[in-house]
Amino acid sequence: MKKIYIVFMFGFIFCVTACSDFIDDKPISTLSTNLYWKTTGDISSARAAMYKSFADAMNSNYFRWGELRGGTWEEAHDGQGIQELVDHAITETNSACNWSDLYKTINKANLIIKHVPGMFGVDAGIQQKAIGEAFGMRALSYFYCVRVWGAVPLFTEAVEYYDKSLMKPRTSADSILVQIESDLKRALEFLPAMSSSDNTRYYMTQLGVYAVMMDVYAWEHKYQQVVDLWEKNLNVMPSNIFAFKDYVSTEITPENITKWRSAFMDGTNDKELALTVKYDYATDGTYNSTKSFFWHSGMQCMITAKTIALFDQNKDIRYLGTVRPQNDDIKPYKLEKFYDWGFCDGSAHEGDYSDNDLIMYRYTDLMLLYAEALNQVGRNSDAISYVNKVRLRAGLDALPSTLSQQEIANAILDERHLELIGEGKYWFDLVRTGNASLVGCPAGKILFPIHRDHLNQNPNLTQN
Amino acid sequence: MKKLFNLNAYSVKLVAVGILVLLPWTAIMAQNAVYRGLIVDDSREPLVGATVQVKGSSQGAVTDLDGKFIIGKMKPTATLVISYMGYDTKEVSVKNGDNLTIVLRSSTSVLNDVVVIGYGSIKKRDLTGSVSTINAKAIAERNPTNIFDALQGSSSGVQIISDSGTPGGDAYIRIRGTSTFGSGTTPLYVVDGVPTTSISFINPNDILSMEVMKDAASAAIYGSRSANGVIIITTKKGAKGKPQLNVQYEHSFNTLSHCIEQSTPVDWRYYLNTRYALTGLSKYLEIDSLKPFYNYDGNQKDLLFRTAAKDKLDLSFGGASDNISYYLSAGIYNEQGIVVKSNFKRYSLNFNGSYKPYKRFTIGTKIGLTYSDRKGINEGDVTANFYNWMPSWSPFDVNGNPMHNIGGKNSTYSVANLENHQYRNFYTNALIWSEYKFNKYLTLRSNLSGTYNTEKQYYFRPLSLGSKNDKATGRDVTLLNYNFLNENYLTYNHTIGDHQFTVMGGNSVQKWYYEHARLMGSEYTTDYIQTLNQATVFLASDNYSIKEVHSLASFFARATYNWKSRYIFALNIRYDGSSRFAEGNRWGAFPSTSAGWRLSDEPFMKWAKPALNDAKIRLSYGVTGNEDVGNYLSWATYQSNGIYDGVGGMTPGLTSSSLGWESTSQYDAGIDLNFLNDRLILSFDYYKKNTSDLLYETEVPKETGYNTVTQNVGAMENNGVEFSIKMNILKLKDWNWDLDFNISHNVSRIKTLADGVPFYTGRDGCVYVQENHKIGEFYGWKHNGIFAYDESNAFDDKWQQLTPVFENGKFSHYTLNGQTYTGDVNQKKRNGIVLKGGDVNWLDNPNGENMGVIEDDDRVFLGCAQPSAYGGLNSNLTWKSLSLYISFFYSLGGKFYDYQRYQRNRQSLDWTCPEPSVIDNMWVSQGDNAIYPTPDNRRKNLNSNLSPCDYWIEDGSFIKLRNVKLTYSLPTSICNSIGLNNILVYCYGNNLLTWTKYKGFDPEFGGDVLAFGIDTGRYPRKREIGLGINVGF
Repeated sequence: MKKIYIVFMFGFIFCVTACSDFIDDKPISTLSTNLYWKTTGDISSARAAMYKSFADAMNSNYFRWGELRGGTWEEAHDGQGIQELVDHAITETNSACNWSDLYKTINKANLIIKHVPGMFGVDAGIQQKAIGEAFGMRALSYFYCVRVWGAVPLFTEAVEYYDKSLMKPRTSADSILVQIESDLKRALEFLPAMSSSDNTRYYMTQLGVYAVMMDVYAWEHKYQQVVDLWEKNLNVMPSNIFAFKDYVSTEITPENITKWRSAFMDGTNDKELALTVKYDYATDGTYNSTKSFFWHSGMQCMITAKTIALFDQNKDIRYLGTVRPQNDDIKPYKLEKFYDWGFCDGSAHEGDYSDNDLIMYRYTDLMLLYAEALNQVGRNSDAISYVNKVRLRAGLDALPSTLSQQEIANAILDERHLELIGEGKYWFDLVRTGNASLVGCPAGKILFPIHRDHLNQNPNLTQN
Repeated sequence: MKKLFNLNAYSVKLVAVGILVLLPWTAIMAQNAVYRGLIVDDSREPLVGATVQVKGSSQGAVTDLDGKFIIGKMKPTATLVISYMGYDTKEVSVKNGDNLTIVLRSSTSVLNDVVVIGYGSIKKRDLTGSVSTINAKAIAERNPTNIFDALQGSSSGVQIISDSGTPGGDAYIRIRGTSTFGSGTTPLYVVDGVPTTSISFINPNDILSMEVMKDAASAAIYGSRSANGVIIITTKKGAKGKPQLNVQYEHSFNTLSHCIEQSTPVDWRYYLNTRYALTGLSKYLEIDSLKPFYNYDGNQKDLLFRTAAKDKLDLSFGGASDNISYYLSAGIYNEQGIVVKSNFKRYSLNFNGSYKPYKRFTIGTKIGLTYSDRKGINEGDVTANFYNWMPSWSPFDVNGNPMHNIGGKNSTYSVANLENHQYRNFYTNALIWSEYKFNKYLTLRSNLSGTYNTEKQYYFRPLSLGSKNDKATGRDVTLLNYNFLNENYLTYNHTIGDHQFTVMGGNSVQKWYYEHARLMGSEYTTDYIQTLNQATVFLASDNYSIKEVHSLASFFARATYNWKSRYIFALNIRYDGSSRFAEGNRWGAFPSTSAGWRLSDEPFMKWAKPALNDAKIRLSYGVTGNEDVGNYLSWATYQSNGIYDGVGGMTPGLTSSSLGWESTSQYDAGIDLNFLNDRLILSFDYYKKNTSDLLYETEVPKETGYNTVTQNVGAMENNGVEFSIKMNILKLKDWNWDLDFNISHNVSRIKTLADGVPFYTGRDGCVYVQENHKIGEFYGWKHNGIFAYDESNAFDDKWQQLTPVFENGKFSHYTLNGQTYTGDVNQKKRNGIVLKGGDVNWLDNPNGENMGVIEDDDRVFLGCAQPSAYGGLNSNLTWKSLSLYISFFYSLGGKFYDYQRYQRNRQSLDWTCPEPSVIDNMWVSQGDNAIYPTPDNRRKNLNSNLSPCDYWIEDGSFIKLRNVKLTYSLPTSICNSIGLNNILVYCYGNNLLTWTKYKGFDPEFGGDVLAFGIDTGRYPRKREIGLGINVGF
């Protein structure tokens, strides 16, 4: 009996004394912050998280931001929230109004910019590259913000702990653009020069930074800087890295069409490409979800007959490279360019996840921007020659050299339209060149509204 | 010992006084002793301080610490009158001899019922907190599947809404309202001393009693887990006497209790035709089609729902002698769901035994094993979808084989039949306890318990179900949770004359381990093998395993004192440390105090005694806590999330640097009145709960790069009143009728929010959470009819609607209040589009900006989901061996957002069939005085697609006839003649009738903490009719 009593008392005392240690449980399956930012592995995973956020942003909005308002599209029978984009009557709950993923990219870039420079004992080259990429991705994300919403809140410091000073008002679009330019310049300081072996385009490289920079300058109508950037930086890239793909024949055959589509279909390392976003179902579990816009069942949008009519179907190899006419009265045209729809009934490969990367910038896009700038700085004939390079490659006739500056500007815009269908460009082209009214957009409706949730969560924001 | 006494200086004095007064006196008496005796209670425990009086004289004695008394010389014919508080007074003649053992029976008054409280028990008479008790008999009357069925409507202040009708489903339980935002809302369950948060493993047949601790004074002894109330469950033990074997079997038939009206193929064709015409498209092919596929005339409902069977078998065997007690039970429960393929099975085994090897030492063990297997359904694709299925479309092809996917939409019939959602649970709990009695007063109790729980979740969606873009996918999820508990506490119990006091103190440590592993794959090689060895694609981002640990260390103490049960005081304190909070904020103290005053025992209330046999006023105050948040939220961590180019990304989580306790302080004032020897018992409680430092996962501005952060964000309050009445209406030789009724009213209100910023939550942000408002308020757009003509969208400068006047079919002019109107005409717009005929005339909030533009700030209050009253009515009528039990359950005054109706009628998709009343009353042409807007697909974002709006806010009040049970108990003589103890046969019906205006399946469904009352088309509820038999050997 006494023994039982003693055992009891011991147990009691033991439990009483050990309590503070007893409740000290540390995370097992997550990493506390003070253990992160130590190794090159940490740099890689931080970069991957940043790119993944950007890939998420593009996956949901690449079409919605840059394409759907461009007059090329109409809502297909089952479209969801697409018609309001086409009609420029966007409600504040449309998913296109959500900026979460862009700001996730920005914060992850900010974390890299904050933590990586202070890391010890890691390869300086890897460190520099990551910082450069972070500046580049931050600039690209803000550039989307500016084009979509105009003024947006500006975050250049990493957010790690929460406090209410994080409810920032919007910063003017001009100030954001100043930040973007400065970020792009800093990116160039950190990123290594392009080497001929470095041909991955789904990371931010000097080539990518130049591409973004050119687009930014064009957006700001700084045409001379666009011209200079092309001539001094982009046009001097080694031709195995970045070059205009010239095809031998323009005869419209399946083989030639496949060749024309090669940059879109299989070319993560294609020399036509400057910057892409990677999707890979097998390794990353991600896929290019823009394909789902065109599934036959549940098709969300389709190319308008008006756009189809712009193609010279007898000559332009891009027609069948871009469009797949379907034997369907209700849904006649779907986008062919990026997707492997198969060649039988148009549905054999419909369900396959698309691994095709989304193209941010490619040679022809930038060359046409260059042509646009040339035209604006008065070098009209040079401008025509670059447009003609694109036309001839597509199988069309060259433009006459007698066109006026305005006619050339229109021709460039038309060429960009046909060349870049589905690449998230044309709506921004219309806005940049002041032509948004051509597709029925009223003057006050060019910017997207800010999503209702954002306004609710931050009372310092004002709606567009 | 010394340390214990230091805890309460007051009780030390009392002991001293008691010893000084009592001991010399008994010593003097002993010198002249001639008559001795021992007074014990039913369980042979000595009664200390019982009064022994010689009848008709002033001679008397009081029993000593061993229950013994000695009395001086007296007549041999004298009679002793023995009385003790709470026991029937007994008269004993001395001629029966010396040295008698006299057994006092506890009085039958309900006031002597023992109520189990945390770390002890107390007589109902001495209870100062607010506690509801449900005993085994009341549980049995309801034929419950789980404890929620047993509790629903049975006691005031406890709101139970079963989550859905799915067999084996959970319930939403709120004790005195919601007192938290994001952390757990379920009460703490304490099963035979072991705290747990999940209760699905328990077979209600094994329960002896349930005690619901509602106020802080009762619950706070469980400190940081008590804010949502505590339910103490005591399971059955072997009763003294011969071994008893009991067998119970019941069988029931279940059918869908209420179905939603569906449109006919004719309605559907008309709708689609009209929609196409108004949208400006040519007719859809189906309209003209002669294909059998488009001409189905079967009933979709009959394909999905069935008459389902339920079987339940319970066996128990138990008994006890002086040193040993044992109880074994086994239960089999097998329920088919009313939706095809769904079912629930539960097998449970229990052993509860104790052994007393020494006089002072008892050791006991309890082992419970439960296995359950639940097959659920995909509610989103089946119950939320079946009624909007295109009624003329066949789910079968011409050969009668199911068509799994039609036009990109899955057939609800096929989804229900082919998808596999299986949840299997393996639950084991073992408890070893021991009790050592140092002496009459001091007892040490130790509990050692381990619980092991594995849940396996299987999911499989076959390829044949998918459209072209789908793959066969499957999941195999393992959730492994186990925890260990050690609790030790000393109880000191002493009665000296009219003074009774108890001191209890102890400690508790508990540690939980969680392991969560998910295997997920796709592209199975065949639909026939559904395990993951046949999957060919495994994505790194879908497969993971996680481990977590959580610990809680506690000290607790209680002191109670009462004088003659007239003045009662209690004091509790618990000091808890949780691993979940930031260092520095880990420990928290949770004190509580309560007092009771038995008014009826005061001399000045003597006059009322004949009618009012007992009256007690209770007051309590205490602080309870809530630590039910994620295990590592106070740590800034990086976790893997997303892969890019084969490299796994690490994403930071946003952390609040000072995460701490959420605490609730609660005041309670109550009165209990027992009239006419307990034949009428009234009980009334008022309470006020203030919760501060609410733990809530708040949405942060997305510009920060994060979605949410968990922080201590604000305060809320609950105010309520509870009333219950128990009546014994008939008490005759053959008749007995008990009736009880309870009603509760509670208002949960938000006092402060993080930075005062209101926010929207719930589906489409339909719930608006703002300071100084109730929780559960729906905000959305209100409407005032449909514009009959394009010209009807016309308003004057004060936004009064103008009436268009037509002459010869052409618009001529406007009138306002009968007068011709010639001023400016304003029109309402949404999304920059002018509304026209067939569009909804949305109300423009006069306090909002931009008059005439229907936008976000035009959302107004539409109703609140909190009911204004809820409760139950239970009646038990007995005539000889027949008894009839009836119970009602009601909830009045809450509004619901009928989200499934919105989904069905929003007209956003072609392949969704609206309900018949919408098709009948939609706007079709100019001049229609419609109720619902035009089906024109191009106008949907201006009209039917707007969510939330007042179209789908409905009254959720209901009264349910919850149970009816008729029992016949066979006469004992017949039973005995066939060698049995007793036989009960019964038939019963559950969920027989519902009175409601609500248009969904059922007005009873679960919800989130803040966003409740939102009906997403849950598994509908069954109506059950069954028969049963209970045989005791």
